[in-house]
Amino acid sequence: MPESTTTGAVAAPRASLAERLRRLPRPTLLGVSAGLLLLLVLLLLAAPLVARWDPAEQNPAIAFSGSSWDHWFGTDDLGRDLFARVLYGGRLTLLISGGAVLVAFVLGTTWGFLAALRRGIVDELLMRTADALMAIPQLLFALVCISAFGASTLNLALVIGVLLAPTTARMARSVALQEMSRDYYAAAVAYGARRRRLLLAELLPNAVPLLAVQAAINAAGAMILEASLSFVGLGIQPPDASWGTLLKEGYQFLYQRWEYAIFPALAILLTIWMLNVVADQLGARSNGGRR
Amino acid sequence: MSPALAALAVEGLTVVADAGRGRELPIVRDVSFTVARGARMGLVGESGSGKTMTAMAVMGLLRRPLRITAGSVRLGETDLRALRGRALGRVRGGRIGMIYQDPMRSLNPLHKVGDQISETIRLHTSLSRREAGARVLELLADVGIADAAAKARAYPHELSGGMRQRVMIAMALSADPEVLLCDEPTTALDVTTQRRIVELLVRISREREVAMVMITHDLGVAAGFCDEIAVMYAGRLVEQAPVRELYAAPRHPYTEALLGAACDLTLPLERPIPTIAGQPPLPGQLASGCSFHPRCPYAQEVCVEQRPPLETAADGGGRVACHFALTREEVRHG
Amino acid sequence: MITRVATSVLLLVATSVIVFAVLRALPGDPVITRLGSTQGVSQETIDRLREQLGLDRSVLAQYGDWVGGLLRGDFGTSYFSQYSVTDLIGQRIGTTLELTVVSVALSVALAVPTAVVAALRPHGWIDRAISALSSLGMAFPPFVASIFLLIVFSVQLGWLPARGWVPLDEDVGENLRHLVLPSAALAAVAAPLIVRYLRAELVEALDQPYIRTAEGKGVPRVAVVLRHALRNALLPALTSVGLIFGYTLGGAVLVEYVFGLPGLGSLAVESALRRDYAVLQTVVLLLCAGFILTTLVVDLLARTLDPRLRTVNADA
Repeated sequence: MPESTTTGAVAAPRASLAERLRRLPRPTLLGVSAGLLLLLVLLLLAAPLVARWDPAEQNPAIAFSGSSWDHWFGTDDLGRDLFARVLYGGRLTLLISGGAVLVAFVLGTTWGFLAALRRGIVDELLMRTADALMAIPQLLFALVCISAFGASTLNLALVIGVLLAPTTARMARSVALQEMSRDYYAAAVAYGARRRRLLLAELLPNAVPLLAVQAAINAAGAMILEASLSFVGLGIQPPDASWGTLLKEGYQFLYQRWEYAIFPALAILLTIWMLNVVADQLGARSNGGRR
Repeated sequence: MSPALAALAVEGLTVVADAGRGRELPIVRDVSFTVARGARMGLVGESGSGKTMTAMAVMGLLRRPLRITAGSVRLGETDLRALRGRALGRVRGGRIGMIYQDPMRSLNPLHKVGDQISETIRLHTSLSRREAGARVLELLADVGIADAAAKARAYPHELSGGMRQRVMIAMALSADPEVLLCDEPTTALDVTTQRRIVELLVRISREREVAMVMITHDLGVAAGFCDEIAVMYAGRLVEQAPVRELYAAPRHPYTEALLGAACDLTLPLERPIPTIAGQPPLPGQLASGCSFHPRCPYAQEVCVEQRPPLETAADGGGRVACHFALTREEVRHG
Repeated sequence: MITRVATSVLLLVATSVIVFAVLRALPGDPVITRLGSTQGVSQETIDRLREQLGLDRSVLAQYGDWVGGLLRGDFGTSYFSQYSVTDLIGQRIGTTLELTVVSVALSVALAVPTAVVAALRPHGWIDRAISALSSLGMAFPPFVASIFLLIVFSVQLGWLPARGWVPLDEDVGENLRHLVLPSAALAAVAAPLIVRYLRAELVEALDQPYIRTAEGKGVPRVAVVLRHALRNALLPALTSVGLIFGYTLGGAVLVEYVFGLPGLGSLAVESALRRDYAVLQTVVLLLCAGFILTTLVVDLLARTLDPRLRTVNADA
């Protein structure tokens, strides 16, 4: 290496076209999966425009028909259009999961921030409760709650949200404690800023990246729980159908027409996969930023 | 001394760190030295000067992003850089051993120290498990561990710092190597233990005729141990000389600064340098010309423009890389 | 050590309180459920039934009865059938135990070599492929994985039974045939999780100075990984086994349901559907106890396997 290069680094030669193409922002894993998720949400929201059939419209004459131009995913045992049923089912799944994520977020951050701010006995009590809740396998707890409170869209969202809250609380608490140990927080306290204001103005915005990761994890968890409950018949009840309900119906006709079960199963699988990837990538990113 | 006789001969060794996107940071630059059988050489310099990386490169233990880009490492007749896999494994630990910094983390926390030593023995000799066990006890006793049988059954965390260092030494010696690289073997030890370890190493090099390279930032330790010293700065050797000569009359301003010898009466400078001003440079931000010029009290324009080559000193006792080595020598001698 | 055990016991008590509280907060009346739509049931009959089941007493007394019974090994009577809960659980616990143990064993057997291969060259193409595959595996809820396995191996190929169970003591071969798909479905999710943990721990272990020491001693690469890195990586990864076990247990509930296995999971689902809380609360608590106990055992195991923690314990 010539010694006159003071930086010691090899300077890049003038960029060729290929080089310039290479420097264009490359599609990241995060971008792709987040984009696909967004697309899915839009598709579900626009279901009435996209689906050419009413998901409830029965036509026994064409029951169990295969994929065709008219019925992309075929039809079910009552001759209902499966594509429309999966789209509309997704809306229910989205509604419940979204609601659950929201509940978990509000409950969990309040829980965690409160524990972090109060410390001492309150902290201990709140966190031990969270530990106890986390010791119960989520699905079992969901079975208990739903069988106690009954299955309705609202109950499902609430119960699942509460189930996801303890992990969120744990995370929120550790983020809050970390932020509170930083200089800006001490400075703000020294200047007499009020705690509640600090919480909303400083802690919450700084916790957003990690809360976003948690939200993605929660969304995946909520989908699994909702699908599980609906699958055993403790979730969305027919004639309404979420992806879980559809999977249950497909499962019952597995030997007649296995394609029935494939579509809701794929919908669940792919959505959870995308959510996991988003959570992973976001997590890696916010960790990288911290180091 | 001709390289053919040397136990260890390093020639033009160059190590870089890949900094991504094709950028390479120089870590070790064109380092050459030889160590004869039974000789003890010190490799000194501030932290970050490339001493440890030189030793790691010799052992072939560099990890990404570090890699050797040029140079050769010869162990007697063997070219170490040409070896791979099993062949390399036979030489490492067998003919060349190393004592690492931080023995606590360099010993496997889940294996008994005796097992860690006998693993080396069994890799490089045909001794049975039982024979190797006996040899472990001999070695432990040899490096001054009383109650060797009990200590062999101990886990690293159960031993004191000095004891762990002795275990490391026993492990490095277990297959009778020709060359031993010692990386800061006495840091983190109290002064008494430091002295004992140094004495132990000296004794070993005499008794077994092992060629040793001691890497240290402590010139006091180096003085008590070595017969020759090589000084590194920013990845390069800047001076190499027999220990007495180097201490009596350092030829490179950096060595001089390290020794705190700038207040020598014969020097033309008015002000003494109690410590070395400024920070050692980072690999990516090396100064042009002589890397030491930003911190050098004697720096002239030529030091900024041209890198001084490492050349045999005028009086033939060593090598130095400084434009003004000769001038300063003349001044010194009147 | 004693603190660790005490924590587990407290956790279990808290869990029982939560399960009990949730089930008592319910609006539905199990007696009415049990009588179903039977017409002309007198108030007297209802009251007698309530008394029989102890439902007429205070909530606290009911909790006391339940826990007291549990401690004596008397789990009460099902609200729905006349069976004792102990019998119901006794019939089913073996299946769940077998399924869980086999799945966890299968997951570990699949995951450890995979993690080692991935960690040999971090960020190499094999590592990337494994990481992509395990990311997909983790996205499978076990019951969705079950559906896919059913479609391929039962519906399409007809190799393995889709439903049903043959106990181990009746016919080992048939028992295993019925166990293949359920445990594969559970391992499909659990194995990627283990791979992920273990790979991360291995990569970190391989970066430690003692690995360099081993290489410097001339230890061959494979032995470096197996003897020096894997042992150090397994210790921290061991704690994740508790988590894996929890996942498997939760997943087993639905997998048992899908494959019609007579286990605790399907018992829980059935009793939840029937609002048979006497059975449900006990099954849930039992499964929680299993989970808490496993994490405890794994923790204690990690302590005895790590000489550093062993010394600390001896000192304390």
